[in-house]
Amino acid sequence: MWEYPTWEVPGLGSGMVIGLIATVHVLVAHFSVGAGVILAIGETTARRNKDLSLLAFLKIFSKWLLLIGFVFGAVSGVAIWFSISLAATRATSMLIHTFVWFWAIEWVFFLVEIVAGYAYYSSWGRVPARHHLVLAWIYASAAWMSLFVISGILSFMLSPGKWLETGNVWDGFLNPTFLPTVFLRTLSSLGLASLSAMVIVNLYSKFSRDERTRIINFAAQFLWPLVLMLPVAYWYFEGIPSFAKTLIQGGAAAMTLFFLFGIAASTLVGVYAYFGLIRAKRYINLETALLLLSIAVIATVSMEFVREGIRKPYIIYDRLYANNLAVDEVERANSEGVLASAPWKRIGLPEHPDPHLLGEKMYEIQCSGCHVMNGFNDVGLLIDGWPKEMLAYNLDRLHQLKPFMPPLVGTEEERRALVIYLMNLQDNEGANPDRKEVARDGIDSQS
Amino acid sequence: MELIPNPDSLGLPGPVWFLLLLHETTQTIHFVFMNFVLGGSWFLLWLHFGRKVDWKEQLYQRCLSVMPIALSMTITFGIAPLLFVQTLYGQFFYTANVIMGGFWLGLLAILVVAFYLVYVLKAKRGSDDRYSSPSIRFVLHLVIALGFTIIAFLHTANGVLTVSPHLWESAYSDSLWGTLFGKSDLLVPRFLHNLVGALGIAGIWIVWIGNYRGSLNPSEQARSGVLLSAGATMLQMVLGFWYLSALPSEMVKTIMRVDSSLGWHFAGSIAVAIPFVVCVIALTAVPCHRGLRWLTSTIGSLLVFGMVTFSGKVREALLVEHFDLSQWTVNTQSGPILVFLTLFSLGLVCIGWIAWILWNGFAESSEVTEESLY
Ligand code: HEC
Repeated sequence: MWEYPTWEVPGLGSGMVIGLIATVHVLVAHFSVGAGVILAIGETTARRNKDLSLLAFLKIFSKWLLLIGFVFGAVSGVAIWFSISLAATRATSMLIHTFVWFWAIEWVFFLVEIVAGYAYYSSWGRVPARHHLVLAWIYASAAWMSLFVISGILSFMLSPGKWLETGNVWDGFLNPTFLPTVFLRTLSSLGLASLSAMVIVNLYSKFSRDERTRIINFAAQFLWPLVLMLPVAYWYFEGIPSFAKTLIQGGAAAMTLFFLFGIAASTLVGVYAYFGLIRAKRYINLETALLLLSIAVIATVSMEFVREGIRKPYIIYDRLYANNLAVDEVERANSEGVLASAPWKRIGLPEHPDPHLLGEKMYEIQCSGCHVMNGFNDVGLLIDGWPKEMLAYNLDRLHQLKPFMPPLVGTEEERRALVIYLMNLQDNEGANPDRKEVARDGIDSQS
Repeated sequence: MELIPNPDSLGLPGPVWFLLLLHETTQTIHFVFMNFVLGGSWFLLWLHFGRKVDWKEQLYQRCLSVMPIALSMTITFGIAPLLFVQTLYGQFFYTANVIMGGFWLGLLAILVVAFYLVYVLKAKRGSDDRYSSPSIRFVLHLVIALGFTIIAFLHTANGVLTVSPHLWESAYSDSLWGTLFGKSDLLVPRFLHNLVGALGIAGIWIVWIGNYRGSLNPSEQARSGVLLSAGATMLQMVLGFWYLSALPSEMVKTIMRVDSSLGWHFAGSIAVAIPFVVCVIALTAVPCHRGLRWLTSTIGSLLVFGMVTFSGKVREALLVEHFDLSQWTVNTQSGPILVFLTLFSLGLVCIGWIAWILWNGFAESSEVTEESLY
């Protein structure tokens, strides 16, 4: 159950580290995919229309792609691997033992993407135009295909679908939210790349105002599809597990807000692109382009945040809880005990640890992934002022009362130890007036 | 060892031999590129001081422009073995990762910084360096080379931890580096073996770059690479024996017996190492000999492959008292494997085509003019 050691990140929590890295990576990776489509369609159009300024822009754009996508994108992609194996080791192991071939397939596309991308960037004017164009299309297809494949694995974690019964990897890959995820990610890739293009063109004084306007209007073609965000998000919503739906429908206010914000912001940007940039052929300057890009970035991040957030209490839905307890292990953990299945937490512990120590270990094993001590989502603040009986009562029903938390497991002795440990935490907080203030303020402002 | 996690109950999605084969071939390619990055970063530091000499300047520029591509390929070809090692040895590998914690993740921060610094050094204004102060460039080169060396060291540390469950408890709860330096005989020799090996293979890369079309003084350029390679290879023999002697003595005995699998893998590697040494020595005399260059490179790649498979065998042997790959239950996913193999072949065709058009494209004109751009 808890067979692996854990990686502690004070204040932030290791989950937060994954979140940060994944967010940055998603933005850059989406940019790389969208940029491929823009390059391929752009070069095709430019060559057909003999549009030299568009070609000159695409050449510059390919350099940005190289510097951002190939350096930062590639390394941050590896960083996701490293961080999930540090912070969600058991889940990573389950995913790799299920999907290694799909990752291998994604890797093939990634390899082709990198090779084609370098070749594309370095061969402007060196190879015949038609070959250069083929390179653009190879790059674009490979990059999009890697998005396609990875979407299957990511969406699996939220909606494993029939895999839960069959164990068949295809059922897991072709899960209920797979296709909507592909669409969502494609839309946001195009949007991010298009807006980045509008920022970039404004950074180069060699383009005249007219040329800029033309390039911006061209890029806007990849932006207006964002108006499709609403129907695609609805399609996605239909595929997610019912408890996750309730979280979006108001079960967790933050999720609802982020979800609505993501859709609304994307749609509005899309509408603006259609009427302002495509129909009215308007120009936008650097500041406006940056503003729009920031909105798109925040919208993308919000949607990612929702995707991660509504998966609670699971890391792999209906199979593995976020704290590494598998769903079918609850009974065993209750009868055999938690500490008994967490060898790394027993290091340096006496044979019969006193309740405080035992409680602390219980907390570290089952709670600290989501409640960082003295940090993010600190449990001390959440239970401030709770009497002991209430705490004990609530903990035993953690999963019923707050279904976004896994059930508390452990023997009677272990559960009691956790209560003692948490009560003690409260008392210590009483001795720390500053913290008490913060807690009170938080509660007051909420009511 | 109660700290060792059980093998994942989902089992392996493909046969052990196939996963191992993929692991070792992709890792070989990863090493070949990595060796240029690591060894080449030190070589560039040396070239940096000779840039007044025409041929050194040219070699410098050329090595610098190969660097980002080699780096990207190192990263890309690092991902594949990362997938397969997790599949085959996850319970050991992940544990080592977690014990290293921030150091493991941190190596990527170093990587990203070093990668961008390479681009800083490469940046041009017209045909001059954009950042031209020699002392700043020296510092940048040093930071890059040290960065790659630290990354290599962290990888070695992770590799050593992976095969040393007996060190886990103290590395996790007392001191990571205290434990590794104090209690592992393998760490230092294995690291030096990797580092010097990288210099040896980087030398062969330089022979190629030195002989590239339009080279100002191919024989001097190539010779500088061969000499690096030759020196490193000599040193490597000593280090190899140090590393060997650091292994448990029982295992060394097995290695010396050719009738054991470990033994014939070792014998195989040595059988490739000898012709490699001969070729490198021959190259010092004729650094521009085309056939010899090909031969040396082929044998060199085989040697890297030999080392990778041998060290795979060593890992197996070091872990055998806890775990054996045959313990895995195998649930082969034939469909996905087929899709993977098909796409992989198509991918190779695609890459082959790209290489071909680039080769032709760069052969025709060496200067790009504005008009020819479009
Ligand atoms: C999957 C992540 C997760 C895990 C694991 C988790 N929690 Fe929570 N918990 C949350 C979230 C999210 C909240 C809501 C915080 C808020 O309302 O600001 C919460 C709230 C709480 C609250 C306040 C509930 C209320 O009624 O206000 C308590 C008490 C609590 N957690 C205790 C625990 C304990 C004890 C554990 C370990 C046995 C635990 N949690 C494990 C995510 C988790």
